[in-house]
Amino acid sequence: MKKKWMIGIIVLLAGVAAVLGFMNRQNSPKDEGLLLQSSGSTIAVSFEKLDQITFEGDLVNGKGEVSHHEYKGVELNALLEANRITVTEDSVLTATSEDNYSAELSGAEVLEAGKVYVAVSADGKMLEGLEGGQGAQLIVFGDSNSKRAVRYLKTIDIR
Amino acid sequence: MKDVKIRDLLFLALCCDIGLLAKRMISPFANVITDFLKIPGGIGTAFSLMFLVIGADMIPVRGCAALMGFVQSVIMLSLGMTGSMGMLAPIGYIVPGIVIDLVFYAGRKTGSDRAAVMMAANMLASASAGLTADLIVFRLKGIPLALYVTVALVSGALCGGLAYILAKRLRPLARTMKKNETDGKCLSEKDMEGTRS
Repeated sequence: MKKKWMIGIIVLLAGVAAVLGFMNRQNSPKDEGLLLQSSGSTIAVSFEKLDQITFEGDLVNGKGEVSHHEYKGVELNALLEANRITVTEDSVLTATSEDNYSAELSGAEVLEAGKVYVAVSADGKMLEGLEGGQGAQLIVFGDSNSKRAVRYLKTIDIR
Repeated sequence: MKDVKIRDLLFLALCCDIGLLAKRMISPFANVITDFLKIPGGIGTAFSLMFLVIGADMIPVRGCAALMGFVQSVIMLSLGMTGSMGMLAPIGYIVPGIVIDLVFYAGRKTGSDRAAVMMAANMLASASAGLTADLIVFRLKGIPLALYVTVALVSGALCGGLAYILAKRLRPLARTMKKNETDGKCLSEKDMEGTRS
């Protein structure tokens, strides 16, 4: 009898969780654009609504070859500030792509002017997402190789 | 607490370590569910707290779950693995420990069924951990908070049931019990008397 009672409680709670889960997903913002995660909350930033600037610089590939590119996008720190997310030198940021490739950035790097950007177009061509449409790429100038140039950028987690 | 033997303390220390390790191990799987539900956690914590519940059940000493929570927080602080709570992380470990102790205290006072006490302890500890994290870091409100707490309660109930099964199998190994203690009630500090060798 007691066992049935306990199973009943679990089933009842699971049912409540299912209903609340459905309601929560309905009320959540759509996962379109770039997701900024900080302190347990997620802010979705539309790529189209980014306050774009033009910037350029050199990237080094895995073979050590240097290439010069011109991008359109936004400096990461400016993007975070616009969304009221504060980064300190001790912060740790993880940028993750749609295919779960990730790169880590320090708060000091993000605060350094002209170093870390989110690009939406490169050399006049739109950067596409993994399944087409507008996408983004993380650009980190000054790295000895471009391992942190995360393509199909989807999420930036700030801790 | 002064009557507690070294082997009991070692068992509690083992529960602390396994609890921390278990959370790390289950996190990738738990995150699949919590990401889908769009909540910041709740499942991994319940699984981690299961080992504190087992420890509190096996070693019936007042305050042992709070002590385990404190030890866990010291370990995590010393390893720099404080997560999103930072320096306030110890609160997130100690509060569920205190809740476990209170539920076991009430269970022993009333002579409640052991399975029900373990389940209630795991459920309420998980919910308290969730609420503490929400108060310190997440600041969720409304439906997301209700969902977060409900998921913590559900996973706490399941882990509490699992804790009962594990503790039932482990209990014969514990020297702190009376040899013929099989009546399904929670062990009390009295049960430890006369079992010292």
